[in-house]
Amino acid sequence: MPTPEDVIAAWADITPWVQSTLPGLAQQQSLPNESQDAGDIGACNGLNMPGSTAIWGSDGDATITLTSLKIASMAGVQSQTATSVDGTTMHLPLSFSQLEIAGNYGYAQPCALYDMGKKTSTTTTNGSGTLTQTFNNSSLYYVATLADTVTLNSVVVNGSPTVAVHPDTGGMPAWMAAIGNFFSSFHEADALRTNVQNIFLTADFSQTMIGLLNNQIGS
Amino acid sequence: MNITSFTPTSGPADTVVTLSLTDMPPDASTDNTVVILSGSPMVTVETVTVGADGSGTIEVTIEMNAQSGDFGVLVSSQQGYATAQSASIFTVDLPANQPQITNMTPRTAVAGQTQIMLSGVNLDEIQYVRVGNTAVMTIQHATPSTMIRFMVPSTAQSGQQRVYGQSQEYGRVNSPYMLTVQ
Repeated sequence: MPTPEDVIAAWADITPWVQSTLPGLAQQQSLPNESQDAGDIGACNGLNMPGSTAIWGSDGDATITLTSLKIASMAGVQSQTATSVDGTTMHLPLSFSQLEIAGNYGYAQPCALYDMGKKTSTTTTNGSGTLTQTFNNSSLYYVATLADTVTLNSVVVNGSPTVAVHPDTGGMPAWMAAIGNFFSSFHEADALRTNVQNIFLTADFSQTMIGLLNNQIGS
Repeated sequence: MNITSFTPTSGPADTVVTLSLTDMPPDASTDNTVVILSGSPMVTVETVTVGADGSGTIEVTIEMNAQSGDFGVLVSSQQGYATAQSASIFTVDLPANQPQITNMTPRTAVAGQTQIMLSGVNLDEIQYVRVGNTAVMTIQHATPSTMIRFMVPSTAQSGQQRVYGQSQEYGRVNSPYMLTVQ
């Protein structure tokens, strides 16, 4: 079984590869599509006409769908010294100047026309565009378990992303702000972070990295 | 997977080396293949080609500060990891003043009992020697700077270990051969 010292030395050995090669392999890595219940994002307000006594309002929670998500860039990667948590768990840390996830969003908000408090008509407003989620000057670490070989257990991405939304359609300023706020909310930012963490855990580039680490320990 | 040959067998930094292999995973590509020279992963794999019979080639460019030694190949395939090690070494032509270990004898040792001889050029630049992760406490330099002698530490880990020196000016200097510690 490899010792923590073996892992620390092997992680140091593969530093040039981690810093120079891994970011290129990570870029364009796809993330799974996501569908989220976003509550009322205010999209129905755009249906209201000035002077009308009937008012369009939410008739249910908006659904936001994220598709074609990819790691668009990973820059300034620096490998840090591996640390031992206990005898069998290691952290393999990286810092980076930028990690950018980009993709498409679409939303659908059910709306109802209320006249004197009575629902008289319903419709659904839709919109779509592109979304960029950026972690600046942050870090992540792989959690690895030592047994006969080193295996990846989980990945922790630190920091909070900033979110930029660029609408193709349905681009009223208030809606854009609502959508941006939704993606920046604690729950959604955490969901996106979990998505990124899962990708780093299972992606081919991480499997290549851990294979290389084991190879260095064995050599 | 096996490395059957590589060409050329020596050259300076920027030399493009073509490795010929057999039994390669069919999904081997530049995205999942790492080439290791003298224990150090190379940053760029230029091309990977695999034929229907599993034979193929990998092209790599020798990097600055590369060390002479054996080639290793790791492919992180859908079927699992495939690895290969070359039987012979690639010799990096280094500038005349740079330290280089060209040979090591013997290549099998008993921890705490076997004396190892490293030969090469400019070895007086090497201040420390390690066997794997274990530091060698005392090394003896011979004059004129072509030989280093040391005892394998009793705490050296068993198995295949890389022996390397450390130079303040030139950094790590690998032995091109692995030491089997018993």
